[in-house]
Amino acid sequence: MSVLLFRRFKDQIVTMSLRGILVGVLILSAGLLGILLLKSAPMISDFPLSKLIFSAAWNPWKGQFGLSAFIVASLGVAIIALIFASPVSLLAALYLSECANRRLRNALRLPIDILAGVPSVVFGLVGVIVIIPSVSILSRLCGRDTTGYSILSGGILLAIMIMPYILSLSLEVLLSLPAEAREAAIALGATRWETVRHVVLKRSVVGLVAAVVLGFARAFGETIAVMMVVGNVAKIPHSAFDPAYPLPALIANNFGELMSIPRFDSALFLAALVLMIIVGIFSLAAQAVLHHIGRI
Amino acid sequence: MRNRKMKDALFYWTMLGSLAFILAVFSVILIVVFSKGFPALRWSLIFQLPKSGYYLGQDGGVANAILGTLYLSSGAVLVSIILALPAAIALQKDYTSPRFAQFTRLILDVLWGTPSIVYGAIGFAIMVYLGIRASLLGGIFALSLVMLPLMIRSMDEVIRIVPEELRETPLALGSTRFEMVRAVLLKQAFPGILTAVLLALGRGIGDAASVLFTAGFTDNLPGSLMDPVASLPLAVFFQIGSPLKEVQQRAYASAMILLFLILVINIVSRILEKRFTRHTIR
Amino acid sequence: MPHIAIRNLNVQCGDHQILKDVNCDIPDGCIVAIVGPSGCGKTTLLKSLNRLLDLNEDAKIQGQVLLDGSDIYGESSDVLSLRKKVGFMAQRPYPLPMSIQDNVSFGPKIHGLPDTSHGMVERYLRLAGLWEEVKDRLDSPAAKLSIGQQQRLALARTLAVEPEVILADEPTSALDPISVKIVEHQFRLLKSQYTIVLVTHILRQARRLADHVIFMYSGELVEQGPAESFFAAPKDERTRAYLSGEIS
Repeated sequence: MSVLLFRRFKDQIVTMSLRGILVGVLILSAGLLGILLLKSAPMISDFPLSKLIFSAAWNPWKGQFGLSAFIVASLGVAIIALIFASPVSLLAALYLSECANRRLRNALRLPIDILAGVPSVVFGLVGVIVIIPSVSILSRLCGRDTTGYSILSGGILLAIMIMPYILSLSLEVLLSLPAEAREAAIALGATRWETVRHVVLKRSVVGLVAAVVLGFARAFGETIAVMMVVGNVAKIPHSAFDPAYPLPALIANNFGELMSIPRFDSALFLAALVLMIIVGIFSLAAQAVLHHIGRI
Repeated sequence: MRNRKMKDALFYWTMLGSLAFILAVFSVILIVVFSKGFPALRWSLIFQLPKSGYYLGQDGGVANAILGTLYLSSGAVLVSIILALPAAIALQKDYTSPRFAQFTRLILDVLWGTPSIVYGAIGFAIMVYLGIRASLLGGIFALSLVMLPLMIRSMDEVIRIVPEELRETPLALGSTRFEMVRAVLLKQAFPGILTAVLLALGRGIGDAASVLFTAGFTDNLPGSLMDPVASLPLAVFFQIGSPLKEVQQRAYASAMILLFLILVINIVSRILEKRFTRHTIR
Repeated sequence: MPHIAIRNLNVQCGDHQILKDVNCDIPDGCIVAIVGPSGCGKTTLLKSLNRLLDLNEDAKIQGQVLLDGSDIYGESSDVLSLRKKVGFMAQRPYPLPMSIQDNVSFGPKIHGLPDTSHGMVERYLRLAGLWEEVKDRLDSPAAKLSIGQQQRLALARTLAVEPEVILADEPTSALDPISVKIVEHQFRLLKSQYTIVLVTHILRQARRLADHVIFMYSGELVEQGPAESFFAAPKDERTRAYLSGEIS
């Protein structure tokens, strides 16, 4: 009997600690958001939110903290990245799900995983030496003489970085589609293209969009690599060849000196908060969709 | 009919082309880094600390950054395992209602996607509050925040796929839940749990944004948790910023070391995944 | 040997009523077969006897299962000691992810039984008719055994916690004919010491093994009785239809 009591007691203790740790992790996560809110509160209470978000005037020395140039820059690089990355990644995922056999899929898992795991700073290096000169040449061809440090370079680099990510997410979505769905179309004599268009895409479009949106969220928050090629000029860019200054780069470049100027630190925490909220909204929506699909 | 077939062929080749393009990009990255970095790669780069004037082209190496990165990421992995494994088990239906688990999974997936620069900023804010300067401790803390959601979710996924009947086996013999977890869930999911740990380790080694202002940078090795510590991604970043050709070349050589570490982790995780399946029930 | 009595047992899963007011007494010290078409509630009835049904969070259980007169769903009942007393074998053998030896000694170890020795392992592997095949490789993974061997290992594992009742859910349905023969033989040897409740959808198996038969049909207990009279002279129309193969 004492053995039984001891076992029950041990089980209770373990159960309580496991649940406690899980709840602790959730509280910690909420705490992180709370800290960001707390630190950016002085900024939000002293300036109207519209001025902070929609004004492009960034002069911390004069007490102007408009973030819109940074938000636009972040959106710009992420959208360019998406334009380049999503067709390529989706088509490659379609090849792997519709044409390739399992052996090829398994064989390619390693390079794709490694590519997805290549550190940001390594992409940055390659960007500096390959993308910057190419974009500079391209700009000259377009009649503008630029260094190449631009929103376009940032976008291209991000596109390369999110390709393996969108590829593996969308491959998962495509592979979760039952084989019978395809067989029905193939049995009717449809070609591969017709099967993909009428069956595969139709049934997995939501999941694929979610994969692309997650790629966008990833691109939006990427820091080091973008910072190395995007030029970091705090002005709203007017063309793809203009330099820009995305939110993560703003935070990374300025955190060191934040004590010297009043309110500067609060402005940077507000930038981090904006970053977290924008990325959070996109990934929440996309993850909710993916979770929903996974549950069916 | 011919039209349909041509369309199909066109589609096939664009798909194949896209895949080939991605693999080509992968090779270009490897080739660029290796061809640029190899000439500057010396044993001294790996085993020596930076000597005075290193960033002006003088002798020395990035051993401070290599070891620093290993300290930082293994420290963060340890901290994360201690929290992630219990949390992942608590997410199972044996411990939590499915609805709460589903909600928590969603939150964790969103946290997983949160940019690491944000975790760096939050970590810094907490450090300032506690009066801790940029240090190994601070870096480990920020890096743990980055790793935690990723580790919990990947452990959760591998534990979740343990079949229901396998969980029932020890329970039918009169085991408690915890005895079942130890006998079945942890044993069966062990290879996957290892992979999850290595995945997090790889992410930690490559992450620069979270340690940028929480770990600091130094030419020396940290003597204690309170000392600042260098990291390999930041060493690459600072060296490429130099106007000197020699130093820039060393940035590529350092990046080679970084890539090598990531490569090793990926391959080791695959080998371990196969090695530890001796007792696994399929 | 404990006596099992089921009183007004109702089980509901969502909107679906799986067991409808089941009443019966399980005779002691013999093999009881529960037969019936698939989906009739056989497995649910079996799993309700050692509260494995509790693991399904949707299942709502009403009524009583009396083990020597005390309700196993009652306040004072302890599910761990209940499951030790009433063992369960699943349809497909799921060995624990450990060695053959550890599979057998797992139960005795968690329950803190005095004997967890090598001799104990041997005794139960012999009882399950597996000893001769595995005696040279007790440390190798249980996963390496054939499925028929795994099922006998599951039997040894169940016996090792010294139960008084053995519940078996179609224990031979995943096995090859030779393994089926061995497992059935072991069951016959064991019935003098245990009460064995066996779910099966194979009528011939019930004829071969059972001393007492319970017939379930869409959640109801239709008919029960000693095997000879059950097969020779079924009383209910549905039983007759089932035995003649008109419903299955």
